[in-house]
Amino acid sequence: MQDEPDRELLRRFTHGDRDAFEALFRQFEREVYRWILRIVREPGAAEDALIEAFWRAYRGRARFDSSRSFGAWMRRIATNVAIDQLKAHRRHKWSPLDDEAQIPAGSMTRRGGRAGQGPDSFELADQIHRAFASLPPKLQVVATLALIEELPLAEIADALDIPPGTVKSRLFRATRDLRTQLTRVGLHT
Amino acid sequence: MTDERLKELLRGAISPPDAEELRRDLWPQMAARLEERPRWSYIDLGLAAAAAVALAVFPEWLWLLAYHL
Repeated sequence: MQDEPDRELLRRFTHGDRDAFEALFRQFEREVYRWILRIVREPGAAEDALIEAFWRAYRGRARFDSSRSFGAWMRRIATNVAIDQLKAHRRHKWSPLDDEAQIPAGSMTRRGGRAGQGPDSFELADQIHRAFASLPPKLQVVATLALIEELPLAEIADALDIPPGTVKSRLFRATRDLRTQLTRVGLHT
Repeated sequence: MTDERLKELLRGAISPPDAEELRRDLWPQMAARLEERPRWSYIDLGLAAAAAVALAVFPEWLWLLAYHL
């Protein structure tokens, strides 16, 4: 994680100093962007979420405890924004697993159909992608960070501001739902 | 299906993000957002409408409302 900014900068930020906010933005934007990107997985969506996250941070600056880590606080805000974005995406664009007519255009891009693998791999990737996109956003985030990004549960718990036990139970539900969905479409391997 | 197999399938199907780094300076966009006038949400509008209706029906509540503001 990024080095912590000095106390004076944080104090100025909490008092609404725009220059201090810009300094913090510039210091943390890359790190926050990379974090959001790990969740939403689409650069354009990650940029929008980054702006929203810093906007929420600026609006909620009075609640920031300057004796604690700004980076960790920012990461929690960014995670919430990313979850909200997944929810919004789900409301507007998500299509159910059974809907053959539409492929969910999504925050998750598909990798299927690598050279020499033929059309079956496209279909397989599509089924997995659909199953993943059908998870509720809170489970999807945990599954992304734990199963795809392979982050430690403690780090995920900190980013989501929930106990590690809750992360475990969400991960359990996510894997169970994924297995169910994939079995339903005939993927037993 | 084991957890490892599930992970393998997910990693095979869901690609890593295209661009790991920011492609442009986002501060101008951020600064523009800070300059925006605060927008009223539907909840704000609903509450304002409810307060206006309540005051029209029960004008004596004005003092109660003023006390809470």
